Amino acid sequence: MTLLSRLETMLGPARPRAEGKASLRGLPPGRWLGDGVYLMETTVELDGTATPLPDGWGDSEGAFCFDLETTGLAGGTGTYAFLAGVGRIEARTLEVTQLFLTSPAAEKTWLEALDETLPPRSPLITYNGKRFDVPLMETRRILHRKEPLDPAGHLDLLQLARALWRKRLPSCRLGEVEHSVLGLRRSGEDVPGSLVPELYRDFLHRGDASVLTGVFYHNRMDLVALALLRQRVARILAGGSDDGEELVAAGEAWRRRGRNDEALRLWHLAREAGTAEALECLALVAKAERRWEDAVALWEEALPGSSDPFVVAVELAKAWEHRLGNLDRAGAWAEEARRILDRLRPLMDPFQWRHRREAIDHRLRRVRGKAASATGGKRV
Amino acid sequence: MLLEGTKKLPQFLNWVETLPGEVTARRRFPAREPQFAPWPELDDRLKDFFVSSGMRGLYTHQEETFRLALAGKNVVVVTPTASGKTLCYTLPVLESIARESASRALFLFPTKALSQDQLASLYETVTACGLDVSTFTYDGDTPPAARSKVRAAGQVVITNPDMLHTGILPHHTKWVKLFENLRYIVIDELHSYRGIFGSHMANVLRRLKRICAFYGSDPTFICTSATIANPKELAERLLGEPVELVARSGAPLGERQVLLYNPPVVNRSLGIRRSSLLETSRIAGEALASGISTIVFTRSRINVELLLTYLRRELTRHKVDPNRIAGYRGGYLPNERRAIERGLRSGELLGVVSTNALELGVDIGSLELAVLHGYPGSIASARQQMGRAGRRQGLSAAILVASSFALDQFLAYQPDYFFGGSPERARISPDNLYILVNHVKCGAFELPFREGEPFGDAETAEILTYLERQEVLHRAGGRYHWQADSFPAEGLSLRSATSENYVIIDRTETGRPVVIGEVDRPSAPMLIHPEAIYFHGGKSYQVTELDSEGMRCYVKEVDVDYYTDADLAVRLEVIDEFESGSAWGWGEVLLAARPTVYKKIRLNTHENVGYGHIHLGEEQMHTTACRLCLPEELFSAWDEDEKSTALTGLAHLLRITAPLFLMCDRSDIQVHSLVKDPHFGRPTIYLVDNFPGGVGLAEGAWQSRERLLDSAREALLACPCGEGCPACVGALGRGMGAKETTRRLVDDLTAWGRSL
Repeated sequence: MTLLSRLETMLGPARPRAEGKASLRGLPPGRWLGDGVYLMETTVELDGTATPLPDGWGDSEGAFCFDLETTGLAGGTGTYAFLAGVGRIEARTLEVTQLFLTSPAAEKTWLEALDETLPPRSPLITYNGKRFDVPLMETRRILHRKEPLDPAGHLDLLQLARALWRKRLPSCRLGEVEHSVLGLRRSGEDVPGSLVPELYRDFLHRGDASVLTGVFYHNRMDLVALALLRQRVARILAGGSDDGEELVAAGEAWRRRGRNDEALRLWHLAREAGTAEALECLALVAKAERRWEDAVALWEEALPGSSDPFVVAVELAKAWEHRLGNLDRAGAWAEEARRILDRLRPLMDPFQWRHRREAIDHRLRRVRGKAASATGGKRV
Repeated sequence: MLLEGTKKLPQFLNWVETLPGEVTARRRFPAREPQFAPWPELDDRLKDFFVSSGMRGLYTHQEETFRLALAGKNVVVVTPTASGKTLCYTLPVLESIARESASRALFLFPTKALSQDQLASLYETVTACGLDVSTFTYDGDTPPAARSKVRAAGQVVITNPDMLHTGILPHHTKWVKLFENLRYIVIDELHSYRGIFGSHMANVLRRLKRICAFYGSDPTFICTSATIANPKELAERLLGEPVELVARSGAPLGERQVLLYNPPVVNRSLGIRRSSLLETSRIAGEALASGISTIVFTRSRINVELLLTYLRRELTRHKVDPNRIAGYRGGYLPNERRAIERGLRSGELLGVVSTNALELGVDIGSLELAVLHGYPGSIASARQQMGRAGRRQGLSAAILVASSFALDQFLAYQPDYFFGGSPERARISPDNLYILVNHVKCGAFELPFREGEPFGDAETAEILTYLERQEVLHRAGGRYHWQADSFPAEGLSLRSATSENYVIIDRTETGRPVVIGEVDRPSAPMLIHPEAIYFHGGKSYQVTELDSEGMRCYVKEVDVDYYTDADLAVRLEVIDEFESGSAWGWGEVLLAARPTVYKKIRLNTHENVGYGHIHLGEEQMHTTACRLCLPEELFSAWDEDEKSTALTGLAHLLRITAPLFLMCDRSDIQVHSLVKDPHFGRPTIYLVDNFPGGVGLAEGAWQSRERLLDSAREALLACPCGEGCPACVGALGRGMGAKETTRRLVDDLTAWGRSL
């Protein structure tokens, strides 16, 4: 019994080898850069101007949109990329270069060709590239003993998309964002990302690149979406949005970057757009900066439109009690907080309700106690 | 207290002799003087540290290991407990880092708990001698934030085979620093890599070496092993390289005594003895009450708790603080365990009741007495457990309390098998196809295979072709590239042959299914057929549904006083014979088993209280088996009943004694007898390796075939029962003269064997 037939009996049958692989066919227009590496170039018109993000976000004038198509999502050393899309953003166009690896045997040549299009250290714009595309490239480069890609700047738009639209989108996948935020529609040519590994396997097996037409399109459209998304995000971060919620979220993104000045600017804009949440954000900044009068004024203004008025009322009670030393006001706000809480009771988780109710009752007792002893003290 | 204790031990041992049970053997092993070697050339900081901490020199085995390891020779050190094993491997590693700070080492411990221990002790040495060596553990508990630091900066990385297999090798590009500079790989507790685990480990090491070669390093292996018959052979098979053996310990040892104790017989004709659990508790209780520091080993977690309860009661009766003993087993939290270990070292705790968790190299100092509740399953592990009582000076002792298991009874009456020179050979089968193919996949994921590239000493051509046809690999440019969208190491457990396990799902509470365990596919027909009773965590469950497509088994909790025992209709097909003589042979077989009926057997009394039919398909398993074909002429004067009874009896005897030579568990082999085997046309007994593809047990049985028969015969002759009992030919043949008939067959067979 041969080992091969033992393997088949023990581990299940395997398809016999395809009869002599047919020659490579079905490639879109392009040219060969070497054995197994095929280059495709396209120009895509873009609306609007291509301004990079403000400083501090890893973006820069000469940054490249970058996106890989891979043999899987498993990660580790067994996953490789077979298509690298690089987009150079020009005044009104996106110059797309796609490098297609037609056989894993040519990976080294492919990486070298990519160095020409995208020199190491180039700043990048990606979608989830910090966790996926760039580490994968570093792995492939180590395997071929090449120096790391080590981008000089890296704008990962997934992180910003999450910051800006997490609350309103069912997911922050690129397809969702480009459809709902940018209003883009892909043609029927597009294939879902999950089918990509299978299609490439099919190509390797049969040599017919026409099965990958949709993958090439998908990759190109990802780059276009990246370029347009970057425009949109740049505008929002600069304050160029009339959507108050977006501005609030953008301000929060600035704040997390340690830029309170920009955060305040955006929140003021959001306040002008009539977004109550902006008032609370501004109040928290005032609180952090110990501008109590401002904070109290902002909270009072925020209360009617707040999504969590109880918390706002408690903040007011705390500020009046501890900072501004007005126990009457403090008591009144604590009572207001309790009224709000009782009104919301049917909508709340009973445990959370009881927890909050005990806390506010405690506060109220303390404030009243203090007030009583203060007046008592005066009498003596 | 200590002095008092050492005086008390001989008296205590004499007291054991007066118990109603039988001390079937008492052996004395003389003390041994230490043997020192002159200090080797060492980094000053290291040497100063050792001298200042009062060391007179290195023991000879430490020095020998150091010399070999530094010369780049692979070493396996066989070390008894408390012989300074850790220094054997830390010394060359620290010295190499002291000389060249870029140098890296990887320490592999079989379990996570052990690696934590070693980290602590290594850390102590490193800090004390003022060397700047960064030492980290890398396992499932390492926080993600710390991982990149370990990868880049860890000079000594401590991990376990499972983590190496799924966490390190498939991500080797993140470990460039380690692999480029890897000078030493330490494998502790080498003997635990046997059977299925060892067969996987050999392949994990093949992958590790491929990756080292890719990064240009050629590490030296330093292994430590408990006493087994073939440490060098095992190490060489695991590593696929020549290995030097260091077996002569230079560590001192005090005098030791070992006793085998068999509990008194309660019912002679049935061969029933007094509970070994109660006897163990009585013996250990007396020792502890006399102030003798004692470790008690037992086989299951539940027994740990039972013994602990009994012993505490005993201590209270003797007016000794019951909290001076503790339990120790898997399931205790790491810091609880650390506290117990500290308590034992300091003497604050007088005793501990443990599963084999304490058998491995956890540091608990040395105690005076070890009591083994039952034979732990292998000579090697019995010796390790007994070694827990062992001091560099003064007397120590170990007592094995035989349980009612057949093998315990055999050893109680044949103590030479217990004491006699060689313990078992540890066997592995790295080329088991199921295991090999899975690791070739993992290897291809890590680095593409070149055409014709060997994998250790295994050929890969056909396997690579097969995987290419399955479209898992893609061949291009003379290499095979991983082409599937999956992570092959993820689904591959190092503790089973195939990844096919049934998941046991508890549906007692509707709408809240809970996964409570797993059963491997070959065991499923016996254990989890519909209506079977399945025990887990001290509760009984009944199987309500077995979904063999989805590999799911649904159970619900029941309150019953019986267990189930399935009858299997077994078909054995010989596919290939690898070696054969006139009667014995071994080779590849197809074992097909279909459960037919199950019996309900009452707990405690073991009476048959009902049965049911099982409707399940046939389970097939490719594996290896050793066969014994009996010559027809032996049976010329026998009727069919006698023939069948004798065959069953002999098969039963072989099942009992075979694990003694194969270093495996009872459940790792199956024994089947056929009155007329369809392949050989003669009465035949098969010893079947119970792992898909086989892990070397059939070959092992073939190699020890003579001794298998001898020990079967001795087990039969020495058994004190009347007409057959579970400790010899089985209880089923009682009243049919089974013991006598089997004896006739065994005698005739021996005579026939001699006449050849």
